Amino acid sequence: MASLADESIIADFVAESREHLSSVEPDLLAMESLGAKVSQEVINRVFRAIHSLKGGAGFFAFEALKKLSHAMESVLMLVRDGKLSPAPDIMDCLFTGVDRLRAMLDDIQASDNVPFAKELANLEAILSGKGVNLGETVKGREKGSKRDFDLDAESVRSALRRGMNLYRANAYLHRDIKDQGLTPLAFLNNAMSVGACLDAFIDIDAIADLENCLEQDLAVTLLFASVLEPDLAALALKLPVEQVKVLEVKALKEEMKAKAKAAKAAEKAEPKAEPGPRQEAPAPVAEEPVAEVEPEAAVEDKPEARGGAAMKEGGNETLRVRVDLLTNLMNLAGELVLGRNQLVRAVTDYQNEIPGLGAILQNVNQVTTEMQEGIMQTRMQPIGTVFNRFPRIIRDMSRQLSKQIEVQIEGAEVELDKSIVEMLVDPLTHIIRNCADHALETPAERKKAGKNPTGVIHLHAFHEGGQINIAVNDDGRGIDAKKILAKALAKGLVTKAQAAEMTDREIVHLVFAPGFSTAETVSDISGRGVGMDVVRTNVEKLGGHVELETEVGMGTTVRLRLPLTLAIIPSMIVGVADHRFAIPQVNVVEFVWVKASEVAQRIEHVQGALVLRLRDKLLPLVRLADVLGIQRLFLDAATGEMRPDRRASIADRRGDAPETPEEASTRERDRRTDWRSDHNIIVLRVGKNHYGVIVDELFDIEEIVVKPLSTFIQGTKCFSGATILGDGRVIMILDAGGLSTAAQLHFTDLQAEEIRRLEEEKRSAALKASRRRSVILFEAAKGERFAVPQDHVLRLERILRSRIELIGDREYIEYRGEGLPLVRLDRHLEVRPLDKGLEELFLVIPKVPGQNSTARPPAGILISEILDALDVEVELKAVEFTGPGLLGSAVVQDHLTLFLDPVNLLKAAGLMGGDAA
Amino acid sequence: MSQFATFHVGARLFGLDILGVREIIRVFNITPVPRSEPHIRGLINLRGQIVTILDLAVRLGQEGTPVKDSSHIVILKHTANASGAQAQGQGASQDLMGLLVDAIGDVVEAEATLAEAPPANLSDAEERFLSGVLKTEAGLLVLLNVQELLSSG
Repeated sequence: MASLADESIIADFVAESREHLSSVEPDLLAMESLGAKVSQEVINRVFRAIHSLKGGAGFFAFEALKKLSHAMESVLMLVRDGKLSPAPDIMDCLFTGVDRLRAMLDDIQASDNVPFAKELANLEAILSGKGVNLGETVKGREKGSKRDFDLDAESVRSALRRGMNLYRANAYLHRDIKDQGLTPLAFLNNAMSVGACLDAFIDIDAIADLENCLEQDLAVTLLFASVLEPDLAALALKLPVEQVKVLEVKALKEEMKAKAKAAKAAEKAEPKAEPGPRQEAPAPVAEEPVAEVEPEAAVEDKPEARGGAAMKEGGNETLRVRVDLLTNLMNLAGELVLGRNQLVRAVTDYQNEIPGLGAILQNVNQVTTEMQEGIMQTRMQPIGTVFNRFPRIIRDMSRQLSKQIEVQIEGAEVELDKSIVEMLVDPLTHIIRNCADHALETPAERKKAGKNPTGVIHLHAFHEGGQINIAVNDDGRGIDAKKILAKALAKGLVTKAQAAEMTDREIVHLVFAPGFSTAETVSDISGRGVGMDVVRTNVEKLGGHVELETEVGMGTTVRLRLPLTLAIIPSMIVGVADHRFAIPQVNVVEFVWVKASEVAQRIEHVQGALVLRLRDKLLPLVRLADVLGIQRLFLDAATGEMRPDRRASIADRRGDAPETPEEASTRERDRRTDWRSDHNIIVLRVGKNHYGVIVDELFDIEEIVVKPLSTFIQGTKCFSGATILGDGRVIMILDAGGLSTAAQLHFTDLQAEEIRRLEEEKRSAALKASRRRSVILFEAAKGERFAVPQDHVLRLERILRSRIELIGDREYIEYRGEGLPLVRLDRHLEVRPLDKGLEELFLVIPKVPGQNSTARPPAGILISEILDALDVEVELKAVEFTGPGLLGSAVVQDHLTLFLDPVNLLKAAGLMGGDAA
Repeated sequence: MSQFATFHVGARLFGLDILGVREIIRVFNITPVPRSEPHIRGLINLRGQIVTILDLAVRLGQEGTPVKDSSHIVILKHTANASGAQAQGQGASQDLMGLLVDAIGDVVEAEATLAEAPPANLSDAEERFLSGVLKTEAGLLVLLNVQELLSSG
């Protein structure tokens, strides 16, 4: 039967029905939470949504859909009429019913195959509990003809009670509905705004009856109850009067009359009893029931009624447009912008010659920009379409987990590109489930912790700095960094050394590490961690970031930052040889410029990979040209041409001999020192790893429109799309992740190397420190240099040669009232003696280990001049003329310098120990 | 009678049903795609749509030839995914393909049913892409199998 109807009409029906269902859910939740206090308006809204679904299903003869929605409608009717209170178990039935309906809509042609017996049985059980029999029908006879229609007894009763007339209306699918710019559902909605629709089906008999059958227009029969008079009803339905007929329901009327009598009798006996159905004759418009119907109609006009929840008459305010149409429009708009730019460039010179051209250009300019923005706007969807599904998910989970959870939504109206909204569903669902499952405590635990037993999950979306921020906050137990760290260590995700340097914040972010989450973490770790790496990957795929803030015992906030649209992304344009590529700016960490002269120091090989030393870290490097197999070019300094570059590695040199400064200066135009051979390195981010890409040239950052790649090229993996630059040229967009895979970067190897290096550096620093000495530099004979470690020197004194006294062959000088023996170096070492003619001499008075500074020094060493006191880093070499008291020699300030060990020297001179006394 | 758009690749004359041809343009600014298969010549910007260009010579197992003044690109109505013609998804409209040929020939009218099977002395690579041979006034016209040309691999 369904095949009789137009495919596109059915597609519209499915789309509209989906919208209805999604609007039903929040209302059902409201019904549940408010219980009997729920406003009539909400119940009506749900009722009407399900009702129009049922009507549509009847229209297209989707039997399963119709049966189930009919049962749900009947239950809702009881709730509406106050005969049933929306208890959780009843709501469960309704919720599962909604799920089934949705499953049916997913594949509407196979909807009859969706099993719904259980749901139906549950609903029927509720109904029969209230004395309603779903199968019960009454005959309605069309006035003026002999045709009978089966009507659902309960619905008719309800309608008659409200003083409604019953009508049968025939509507022709094309003539009366489609050609009027309506959809079947819109038609039904319209009908429901003036009454209640009892049943709708495709009437084969009617087709056969009427001459219209030749037109092959489907007749849809609507059994319809309204307070309106027949002519008014036809007008309201926008149908010709002859297509609307009154139905008589004799049997039921009699039954109801009897009941009414009984009720009247009861009224007499007990005046306060509820007025029962009192109308004897339903034909005229009863005044009272109008008031009853009004709240329903009032819903229509309430502007604050939520988007999909309130049913729009006719749907004049919105249009359904295919997404690919919009995508196409967006492309064309981009093309228009390009055309405008070219036009402006081409006619600028004529601006003065043609009067008014400037104004025209400006106008074109502005309109183009506005049009592009407008078209972008059409793809925007409120984030609420994702948010609004969470109350339901949380409701189900809280019942399963026996937790009390409240969902708060803020900023549902914030708009994002459709594709982003769709791709957010999974990551957000994951985060929300984590919140409910792991983060929030049971009511008992919460009470113990002094919190409200109801946990709160707060969803908040807002604009900030040209990006969309989404925060998911819970007031649960938070994430314990210690436990996370223990887990990460156990799993080998971090080393102990790394762990020691991590901040709590960094540790908490380990939950995003791939491989962190497994099933057991669910029970081990309080908080989250299940598949958070998936969340991060998904969000990063969208060009966004995830962050986590947590406080133990207070709760956790997951923040997502996302671009407004995927279609236009700011990208850095880079050049390699004569190729150009775009790198999305979200992937770019920084830009490093290595001067040609520094290349050899900063870029090196580690295990066959090129690395750059960047702030004590090793950054793996790839040459974009090599990864992509592009012939490298270099600027030949001699000829000024670009020539193929054959060097295997950047750090290669033709010879290893260090250049002297003179040589380097004469080769100013050497390509290693020429600024044109400087290296431009773009540091890219892949997950938490960074790597550098060497490119030849950097251009501007441009806003590019991403175009998908042809299937032929997707296999290259290095590109995420293509784009057209302002000059009309097509360039590829680099995919940071794919590029690193193609380049076979092994980040873990490098990390190990980095750690090894750090340790080595520490060691060598320690070694250096041990080699580092503070020395006093002096001369004995002219041109002969000596050094004494400062810690071996007590003090330096200036003396006059005339003060030296000779006793035997030993020289003394009076020092602090005592005789101090003097040592001449040439007596003990193979060095030249001091110049004879010097009037002023100096004394090095050594420090004897273990002796305090006030003790009498054993001797003084005579020298001619003190040159300097400085820190030197030297490696002492043994000297051939070693003698006692010589540590060795080294070159200090370009002179060979002998390092003295004064204590041993004095020992050799026999001036230490007992000898000195 | 069917009409065939003809074009030269190397010494041979090839033909495509003209209904499968969207347009024929001169060659301009092909952006090469690194790491792609050898027969992918690159991408061009056709009024805001990106078109993937196949080098027909390479696809047929011959040496790729440099672009000459006479070279043209035959933009196909077919899209790379075989089902794309009827699918209305956005992928189909984006996935335009073009064939790079050495020179463009006349439009030839011929009875498609008269096409003979490709001769047996073809290499495997060629045989896959050819659907038949037609004798015309202009000489032998080799008909291309577009579906195969556009299938990956």
